[in-house]
Amino acid sequence: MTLRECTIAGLAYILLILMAAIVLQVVFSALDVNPVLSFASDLALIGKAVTLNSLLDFQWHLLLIVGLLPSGIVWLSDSHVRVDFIYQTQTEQARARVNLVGNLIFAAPFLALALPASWDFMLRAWNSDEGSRNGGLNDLWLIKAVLPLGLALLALAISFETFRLIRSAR
Amino acid sequence: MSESVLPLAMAALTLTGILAGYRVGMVLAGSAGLFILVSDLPTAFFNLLVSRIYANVLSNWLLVAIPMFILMGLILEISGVGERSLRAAQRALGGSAAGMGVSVLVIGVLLAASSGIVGASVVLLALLALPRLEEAGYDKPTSAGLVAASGTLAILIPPSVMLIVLGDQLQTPVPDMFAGAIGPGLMLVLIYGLYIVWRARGLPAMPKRERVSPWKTLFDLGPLLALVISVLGSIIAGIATPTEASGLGAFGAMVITIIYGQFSFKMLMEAAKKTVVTVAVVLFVMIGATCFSAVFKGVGGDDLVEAGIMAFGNEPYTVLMVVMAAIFLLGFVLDWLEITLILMPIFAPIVAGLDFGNGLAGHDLLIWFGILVAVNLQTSFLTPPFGFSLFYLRGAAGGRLTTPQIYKGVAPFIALQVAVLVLLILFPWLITGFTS
Repeated sequence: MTLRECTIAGLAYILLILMAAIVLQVVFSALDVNPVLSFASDLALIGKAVTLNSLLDFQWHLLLIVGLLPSGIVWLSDSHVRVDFIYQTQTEQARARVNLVGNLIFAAPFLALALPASWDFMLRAWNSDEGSRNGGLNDLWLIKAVLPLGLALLALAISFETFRLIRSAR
Repeated sequence: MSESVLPLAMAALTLTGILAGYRVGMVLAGSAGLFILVSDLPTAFFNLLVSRIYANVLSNWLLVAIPMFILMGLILEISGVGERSLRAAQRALGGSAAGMGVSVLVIGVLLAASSGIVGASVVLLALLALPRLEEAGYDKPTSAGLVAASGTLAILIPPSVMLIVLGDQLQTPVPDMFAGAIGPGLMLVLIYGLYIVWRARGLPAMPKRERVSPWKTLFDLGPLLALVISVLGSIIAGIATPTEASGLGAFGAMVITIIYGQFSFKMLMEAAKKTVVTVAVVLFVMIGATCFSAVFKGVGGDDLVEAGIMAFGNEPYTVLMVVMAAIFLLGFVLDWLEITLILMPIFAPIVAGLDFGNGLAGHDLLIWFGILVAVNLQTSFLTPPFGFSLFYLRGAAGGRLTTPQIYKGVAPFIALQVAVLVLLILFPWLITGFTS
């Protein structure tokens, strides 16, 4: 299996865990079980108990991981949406030019601003030891790290593509 | 005048990038980045933007429903459960030419309510129903139009990803959006049905086929119907949140494949992998659009758009017509997701401040407006050259249909949709009558 297939398969497992988390949360709230589990000591991420709100937080954490991490891979497999009724009629060379120019005027400024901004955003959560406001999951910096990580992978994919395009343009 | 230069340049650059065929999400995100750099907006504006992306898109629990509804639809599609019920409905209804036409419509509704994925619905209907429709004597354009229009119902009939995103943008409760779409959905089905029965007049009767037992039909259709009704019913009745219902729906779809003996781990993983890619694509466009609309607003774009709309007159119905026309026209080149994410933050406050003299205000007004937009956007799937349903149909039909035949076939259905849209504008209770 290629790296791409492995990653997507791994994320597919996470998606199935997400489904299970929703089903569990519905079952527990129907049976009125809350907190679901309690611990004597304060654990990382979870805190002292797994509450229904932990399960709710867990759900969007998983969605974030599933949605953000593969962005670079999806970029390289060219699965992101294009309006292609003109694009598809173009020659290979013209398409390469569109992508090269696009990477320079669109992707470069966005990543130049978004990468440091999302890094700062995570650092603020780390410095203030931000946790859940409603008894959900703690250590919010962990999940906030997914945004700069996803963007970094995307930047990597885009630079890779750019080099490939420059080489083929010659 | 000078203050409209930046937003105009930004809109022009964005449209050029999109039409050139560069990835839409990055065009949106990139023009936001570029115009922060060239305008007098501080670069710290982007820090604000990241907080907003995190708060509105990423930590939005409601949006968890999107991958789950997609997963539910893909499980039903890939496992072959959708095809099974399609065949059952065809056997039960396909005794006459008119019945065969109506059965396609009924199956379209069933697929719409269970999966809500336009591509899957159109492809499935095209593969299974096109040959039958031709056997029944329908001309090619009519069959093509019927298949495309029935498959496209998937985006309007709840549970629908589009209604979730619209509700999120308009800040209207998703259950109300779902309930509000029921009336218009039924109207479209009814009016398509009347049209197809009218087209079927004079067609020869179908050759007699052996009868199937009603128990067999019930076994093939019952579980899917039960799933659809319980998922939708629990959301609209307020028993479950859309997210809870979506997770249970995906789980229920899995249970149905087990009942039919069509479950395999490979099938489940295939559905999950496809969902992962779709989620990444959708989320990326959402992030891009969030950046775009914040910066577009920051450089004064919303004032410009508002002034542009008001130039046609500030009478409420005139404003609504201009907004609807803009969405309809953009639908020729853009996708529902981009239109919703870019235009709703600008249009919603304008429309929310209007008094249409029809007794609607606040929430009800926005739900009415949201469903009008939904019906309108549905049409964008059918309008050439960039109509998603048309691409899927042409792909699935292979050599069976030509592009002109498809265009000719969808034209009457587009006209019917516009007629329904006018009715919904004139009689808002067709929408609000179903909401709480």
